[in-house]
Parts: sequence; C-alpha cells; structure tokens
Amino acid sequence: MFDNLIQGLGILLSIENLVLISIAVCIGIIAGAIPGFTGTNTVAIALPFTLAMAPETAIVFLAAIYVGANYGGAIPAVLINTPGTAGATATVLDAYPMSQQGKAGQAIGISIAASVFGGLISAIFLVLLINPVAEIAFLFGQPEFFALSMFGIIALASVLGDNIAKGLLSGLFGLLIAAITLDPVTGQRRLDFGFPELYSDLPFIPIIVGLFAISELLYLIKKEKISDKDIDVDSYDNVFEGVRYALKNPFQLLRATSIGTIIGSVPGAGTSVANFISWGEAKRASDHPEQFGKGNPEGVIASEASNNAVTSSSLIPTLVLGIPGSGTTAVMLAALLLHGLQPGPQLMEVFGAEATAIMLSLIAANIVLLFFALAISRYIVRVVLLPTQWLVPIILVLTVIGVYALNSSLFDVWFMILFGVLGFTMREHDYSLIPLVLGVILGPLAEGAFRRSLELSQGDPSILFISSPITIALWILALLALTSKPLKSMIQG
Amino acid sequence: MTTNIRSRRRFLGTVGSASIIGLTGCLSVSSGGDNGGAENYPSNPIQTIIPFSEGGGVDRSVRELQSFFEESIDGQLQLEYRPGGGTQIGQQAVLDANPDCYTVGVASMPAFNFTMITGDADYDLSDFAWIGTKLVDPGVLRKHRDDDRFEDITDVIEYASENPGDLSVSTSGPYNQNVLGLALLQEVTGAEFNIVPYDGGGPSRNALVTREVDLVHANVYNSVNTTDDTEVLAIHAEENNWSELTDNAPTFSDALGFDQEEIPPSGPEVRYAWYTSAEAGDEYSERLSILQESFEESVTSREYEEHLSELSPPQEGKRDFRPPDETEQLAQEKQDQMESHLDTMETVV
Repeated sequence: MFDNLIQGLGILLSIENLVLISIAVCIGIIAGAIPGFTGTNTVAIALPFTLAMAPETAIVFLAAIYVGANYGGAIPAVLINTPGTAGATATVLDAYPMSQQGKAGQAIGISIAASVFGGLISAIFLVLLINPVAEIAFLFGQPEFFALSMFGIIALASVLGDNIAKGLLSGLFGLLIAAITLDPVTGQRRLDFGFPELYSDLPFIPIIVGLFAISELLYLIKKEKISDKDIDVDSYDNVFEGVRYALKNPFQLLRATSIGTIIGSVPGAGTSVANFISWGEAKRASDHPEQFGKGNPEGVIASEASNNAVTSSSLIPTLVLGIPGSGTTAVMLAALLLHGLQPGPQLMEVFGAEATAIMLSLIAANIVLLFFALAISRYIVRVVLLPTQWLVPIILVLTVIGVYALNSSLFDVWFMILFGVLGFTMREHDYSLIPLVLGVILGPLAEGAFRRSLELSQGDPSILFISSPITIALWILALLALTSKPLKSMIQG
Repeated sequence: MTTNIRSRRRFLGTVGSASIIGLTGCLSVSSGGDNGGAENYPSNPIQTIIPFSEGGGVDRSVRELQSFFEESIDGQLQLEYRPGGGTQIGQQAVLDANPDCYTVGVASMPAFNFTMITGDADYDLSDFAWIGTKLVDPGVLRKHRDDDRFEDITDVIEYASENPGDLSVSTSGPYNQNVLGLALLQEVTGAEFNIVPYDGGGPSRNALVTREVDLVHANVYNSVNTTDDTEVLAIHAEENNWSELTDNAPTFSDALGFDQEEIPPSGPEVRYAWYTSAEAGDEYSERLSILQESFEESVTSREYEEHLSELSPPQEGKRDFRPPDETEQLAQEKQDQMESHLDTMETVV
C-alpha cells in the first residue's frame, strides 16, 4: 500500500494534473450551481474531453468535477431555496431560512467548511481503508436495504414539524407518487397514465426543482428581494464566521461525514439519501430540534458534510466491486472501462498506483474547492439582494434550461411546473415537502427491497427484521427514533 | 497502434469540445439543412440517441466505436441520452427527429422489442431503417465459486428438479432475455427455480457475489467483472467461442443433451444494433447507404478489433457485425421469439 501511495502521489503531483484539478473543480461548481444540472450529466458531458488524456488523468479530472458539482449544489440551496443537485435537497431546509434572515454569508461559509471537511475526511478514509470498507457493501442485501429505507423515513417523520399527521400524509403521498412506475417484480404497468416518461423511472430532478424552486418563485414574486435584512457584501467576515462556526462543531461534522461515508459505500443509496438521513439524525440529537428547518446552522452542516462525504465513498464500490455507488460514479465507471482499467477486486493489485492517484486527487480537489469556493463566496451572496423582478425570471430560465437539458424533454419541464404548483399548495396549507421528497426517493428502493426479500424467503416476513445484525440494528434505531421524542416529553413531565 | 488511438482520441477531444459548447448552451442541434442527399453528408454532427443513462453498457459500446465510426464517415457523433420507458423514450426520439439521417439510435435487443410487446409503443418494426448490428452478448448461468454444492450444470438442474423453488436465481429485471432463458430452461428440463428480478444488471450480479441468491442468469460481457467471485456453469450458444471468459463452460444443449432448437441461443442473448427512422431511410437513401457503409467499415476494421483486444479483459469476441438486411431479420426473429414466450415469462415472475 505504501508503494502505491508514493507512486500515486508521483502521478498526481504533476503540473498538468494539478491545473486540471483546479479547472475541473471550477467547472463542477458552476455546473452544480445551475438547478437541475446534476453532477452526473456534467461528468458525462466532460467525458469526451478525457479520451485524449491518460487514464489516471482522465479519472482525476472527472472526480474533481464531481467534487465541485456536489458543492456547487449548495449555492442555489442557500441563496434561492433550490437545491442545485439532489444531494443538496436537505441543505435548503436551513440554509435558505438563514439567507432570509440576512445570514447568507454565514450559510455559504458553513456549507464550504462542511463540504470540504466531509469530502476531505472521507477521501482520506478512502485512501487508507478502501478494501475493508468495501466489505460493508457486501453486507447490504435486500432486507438491509428495506430496513435502511424504513429507518430513513421513520427517523425523519419523527423529527419533522409539529403536526405528525400532516408529515405522515405528505410521506405517504410521496410513496404513492413513487408507485407510478412499473411494478419492480412483476413488471406490470401501474399509474403512468400512458406517459412513457413515467413508465419505468420517475423524473426525480424535475420533481425536486419543481417542489422547491418553482414554488419559491411564487412566493418571491410578492417580495422585493430574498432578504429584507442588511447584508454586508463587501467583506468576507460573514463567510469566515460561518467557517469558524462549522469548525467549532467537530462532532457534528464527524457525525455527518460518517453517515455520508457509510451510505456512499453502499451501492444504490447515494447523496440524495445521505443528506436526509444525516439531517434527520442531527435534528434528533440536537438540544434545539424545534429550530431545524427554520435556519439552524447545524442542519446545513449535517447535509453538506454528508453529501460531500458520499462523493469519495461512492468510489469504493465503483473501484473495488465495479458497481457504481451513484449516478455520477456510473459515468466514471464507464470512463474507467473506456480507458482499459477494469474495476473489481483485482484493481488495487493491477492498477494500484493509478487507483491511489484517483483517490488522492479527491483530497487535492477538496483543498482546491476550499480556496475557490471561499474566493467567490463574497460575490455570490449578492444574489439575495437582487430585485426579484430580475431574479425570478433568471431563476425560471435557469431551472427550465437545467431540467430540459437532463433528457432534452419538455415533459420534464411541465412535470417540474406541476410539482411547483403542488409544492406551493402544500406549503400554503402547512404540509412539509420533505417527507414527500423522501417518499419519492426511498419508495422504489423500499418497495423493491421489500418484495425481493419476500421472494428470497418464499414469503417468510421474518427475513425483513432478523436476517442479520444490520437489519436488527437498523430496526432498533428506527424504534428509538420513533419513541425518543415522546419519551423525552414524558420524562420532562 | 497506440499512437493511432491517441491521435484519434485527441481528435475526439476536439469533437467533444464542440459538443460541450453545444450542450452547455442547451441548444437542441437542428439537423438537416442540407437537402442535397449524399453531397457533403454529414455536414452536421450526427445525433446518436442512447436509450439508457450515462455510463451503462450501451453508452460504453457506443463510445468504444465512436472514434472509429467518426473516422469512417468523416463526421462527428453527438451522444444524447434519453433513458426511460424501457428504451421507448429514446426510440421514439429517433423516430420523431427530422427524417434526414442526422439522428440515429441504438437498439438494445430484446429491451427494444419489449417496448412494442408490453410497453404500448406507438411504433412497430417497419418504422426502423437498420444500419447494422455491432455486438452480441450470449446468455450464461453463473454460480458463486465458493458454492461447492454443484460441480456442473447437471447437478444444478437435478437439484432444482428435486427441490422445486429452492434455488434462487437473480435476473436484471422482470421481462428480458435472462428471464426467457430461465423460463425455457425450466420448460425443457423440468427444473424449477425461484426467479428474483432485480433493478438492473449490476444489482442482480452483485446479489450472487454477496451470495444473497444461489445463481445469476446474465450475459458473458456484462458479467465479466464478477469472474473473480463467480463461475459460468453453462452458456447459451451453438458452441462456446468465449471459453476464456466463461471458465470453458459447456453449452446448455451439450451439457443437458437437448436439441439447440428447444432453447435457441438467440433467446437469452443481447444484441446492439444501430438504426435510423424508416422515413429518413426512404427520403435520403444515399445518406442511409453512407451510414451503413461507414458502420460496416468501422465495426469490421482491424483497428477497432485491436482496440477491443486492448481492453481488460480483451473483448474482441463480442464484435459481431451483421449487415442491415440480416439485422432486420434478427429484430423480427427476436420480436417473434419474445411474443411467443410472453406467457411463459409471465408464469415465472
């Protein structure tokens, strides 16, 4: 391993690679900041460039774009209530209220520090422990996936809002929306109303952008600008205050990073699951859970540190098992194969130096991210002071472009608008959007895992609960999540 | 050779730059504009619609050929992903494009056929003009290497006949070539498996690596990255020309002593074929001819074969060029095969 580390450093520390990493991080941040423009399609668009490069340089370049894009998603989440990528959905919950309170600079600072911390620690972890961590992926079968998704929904439902009934209704509605597509086991069509776009997979990004961005536009129209408070945009003080706040909370950073690292190393889970579970856990463990969703900086740390930790750890199953841990790593897997690197258990033996260089590049990319993101932070917070008569049409155009560019599909644009109206209606009647989003994200995972578990056990439901120590632990955690709040109230009298 | 590939890659990089500028501007490339038939064709990039997400098997196969095809046709391919609808979205996008041979698509059979059989597609086989077939990936049954219950495929069939439903087999989805392979195997041998459809090829193969299931029905090349942990018990083929990648496994018919026609090897195999719309082919027959000739030239070129052999593991054995008329025949055969066995597949999932 030590030899690989030295050789990997040798590959990485060339002027060409370091310049490419810097360019790639910048491209990633810009692309990630456009709502709907995901890390996956940015990396896919960049792929043809890399065919002219050496294999390890190509993957380093793509990995740096991935890191940049994942942070970039936080920028519109903080400033305009719109997650730039699915992994930043939970960031919206506290970061945007902070912006409305005139704390956009602090929120940006926290998101930078948390992102870099999460990405950096997870990347170091990846370099040191790639092989043992890969074993975690082997421990997750269908019953474990079902328990994980149930834990996610229960943990979040139990910590959200004051009205649990409305939260549950919202979550159930999300699960119903997730059931639009084909039955995962029998292949029967269900609720697609004849639209081929809804036949096998839901257009997830249009749903998220619609619920958050479009519904917010309807509110912004009534305002002059996002924040009515005075913001000092001429100095970095607020941004650095945010950075300092995040660094003063190492336990929260570590907890979110650990959640992101573990979830990222499990194929199929990804950033969109990690940021919610991390946010839910942070709220559950907080002394002031009632402040979550209203501009609590701890919520921003939880979401941002976890989603950037996923960028590194999702490379574990990609490199070691040849199974992509997320959509973006699926593209990177294709890039590896196109360059003649066969991912799988033998990768570290045959291409040890190249694989180590890829992992080390994540560390370099996160360091570049820190400087670049801080440098531009003072300028991007000005967005909240823009008059809405300019801001609303700009956001609308950007979201339509971003969502259309995903699949060149106008259906996706209409779908986004439909969910924008739904989001507005729900917010008007005090229904939280988060359980709905989580239902949509986890629905297919939970349903497929549930059905396949029962197929495997030939109908015996005990497989769902006691098939392994992981399922037992996840159910106990879910039970604790469900009961901790009422128990706490009881104890406090 | 490496230098040639490098220079082609550099060329491709430049092409990529042009594509990115177009894509980041989010302009849908308007094809056509040149009504002069074959003259100057192609003067615009050829939109190549991939009916799956980025990074999958079809994407990889297109990118493997891209630079060779671009060199043959002296033009550019611009890749566009239209996933969803079990490939129906992508197929429909090709048929809806301007009928000028500036939009082509990749049909992954039999997923392509199922859009017409179970997916209510608004098109049928007569709407497609074929450019050619590029790839074949035969069906295989794999077991885990640590599973010492079975020496060979006959042991498996014997066990599954005596213990109906006891052996679980993962497949990449509820209706596809893998389910068909298993359904026919059950019909012919009397064995009975517990077939568990997963959400895609990767998860279904991973289920065997983690030993969640006893067997996986997959294809040779799409399961090649599991060879350290799993081994092939038998292959659906007239003869095993892929012995190095398949543990020298026998064919199903040889090992189990049935007639090839009872389980035609073409049923459980995957094929990738390129096409444009029949309307485009009718209106611009010379352009279609240029597409067909360039496709044949690139797929059958020595350089492309060498490129595939340089991959790890070498993959030149998946190249299987078929001209347009044979591709049309293959598509029809596949369609008939899937239609006639739909009931059989329904009974097993």
